[in-house]
Amino acid sequence: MNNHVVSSNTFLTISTYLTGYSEVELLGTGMLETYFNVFLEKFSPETLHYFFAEVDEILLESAGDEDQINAAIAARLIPDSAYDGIAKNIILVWYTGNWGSDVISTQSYQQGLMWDTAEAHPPGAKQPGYGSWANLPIRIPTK
Amino acid sequence: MESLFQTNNPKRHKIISDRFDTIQLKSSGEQFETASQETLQKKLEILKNDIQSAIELEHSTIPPYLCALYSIKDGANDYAANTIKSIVLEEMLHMIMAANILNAIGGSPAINTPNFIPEYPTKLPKITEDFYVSLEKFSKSSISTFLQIEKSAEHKPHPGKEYHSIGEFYASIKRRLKWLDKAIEGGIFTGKPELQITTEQYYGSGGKLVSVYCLDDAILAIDEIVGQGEGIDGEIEDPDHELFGEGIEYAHYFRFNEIYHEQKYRPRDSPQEPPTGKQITVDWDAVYNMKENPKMTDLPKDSEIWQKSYNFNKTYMALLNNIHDACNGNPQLLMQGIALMYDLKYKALELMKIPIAEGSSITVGPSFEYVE
Repeated sequence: MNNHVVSSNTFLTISTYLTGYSEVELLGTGMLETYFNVFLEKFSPETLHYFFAEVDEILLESAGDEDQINAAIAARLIPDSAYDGIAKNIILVWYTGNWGSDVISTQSYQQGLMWDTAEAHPPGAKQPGYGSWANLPIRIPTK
Repeated sequence: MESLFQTNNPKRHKIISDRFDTIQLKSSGEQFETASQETLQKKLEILKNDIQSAIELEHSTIPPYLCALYSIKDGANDYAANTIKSIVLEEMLHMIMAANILNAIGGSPAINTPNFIPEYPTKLPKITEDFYVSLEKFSKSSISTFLQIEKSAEHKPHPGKEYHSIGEFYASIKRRLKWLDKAIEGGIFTGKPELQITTEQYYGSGGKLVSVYCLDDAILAIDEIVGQGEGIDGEIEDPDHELFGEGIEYAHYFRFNEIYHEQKYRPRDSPQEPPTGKQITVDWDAVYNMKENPKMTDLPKDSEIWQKSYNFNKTYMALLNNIHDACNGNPQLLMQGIALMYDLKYKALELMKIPIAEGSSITVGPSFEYVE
């Protein structure tokens, strides 16, 4: 086994490829540490270790070539047989804030990326304001 | 114009004192009765400028309060968060009521100009007291600044154009409203009634909005603003609670003081002494460590965090434009502003969590700056 470190930094980096959201967006949810800890708890240290080693290798050998990174992820991380499905679970956790059918925390419920993607809001939280449904969604022109 | 709002609540009037007016009357050598109409018109213009400053003053407290509020981590400091939230809602209400007063006397509130937004750290508009207000996280130090903002000054006459406290500033506005309304032929409450923001457009937050159609309404609005802020004559209780049955509600100063001392007031506590009631749990560490007085220029131009900060400020500008338009002839627009307020909140919360640089424990924070 090599000296690859299982770190929240690498977790963040691979999460950007898996979710399509940028690092800043993911950090803006405030959920990085919580989700990282979920994976530390749910998977064996060995599996995590090999997964992160593979991630490091993919990033290194692709040298920033996005297409190559995405192809490598699809081939080596996404299959169910790969690392007990860690990659798929990373996508699910960021998008739903759930582990399986369990809500990870009250914050994770609100921070699920699926709400943002759908331009909706989690029922009962992050409301857009009473009566706002009568108006078109806000579009603030930014450059 | 007859008042559309019930102004004669006997309980409220008992609380309000005319002490300031009497003091100022004696100290002022001005003879309004003999002044020419031309002089009086000039005085009215100065008063309009001062009420514009009052709108700016009310607004200038909102970004600092919001920074403290949004820096509190989810689920922590419930008591402090709820307190700050209720206070900031009242400041928004005060801002709209000040705009109503200005509209009522024929002025036009200017809410979306570059000068409207203070550059933090800032002194409060029109207030002489030597302290600066910053955009900063919830901390003992920020709460102590908030105490200074809401503090009632010893009311004493002085000749300057600045004031020792917010209450004193409003007392001067009230006095001049009364005199000019009497002295100027036809009175000064000549503004178009349809410009008023009413409870139709503003409800549910921070108390009852006062629409202003006559002198009594203006006095009621001012008493409400001052009463909610520093209390009347050193009273702990805010006059509102008797009207709205929300239970005992203390003026802002005392509610901040409870957080500061991590202890609640008891009914018989003296306004001059710290609270002596139940302990409050305050976790000063359960807070996002936002950069103090953040500026967009601190961030690498066009970086993603710069863009986030810019988007936040664009939303802030959209909100100020919305309120400006609502206060200048389109009151119904205020309802649409609610969605902008929520959007602003979620954008601020994101900025509270994003580190200013990789690995930094300091986060970007909302900068509340004017952008084109």
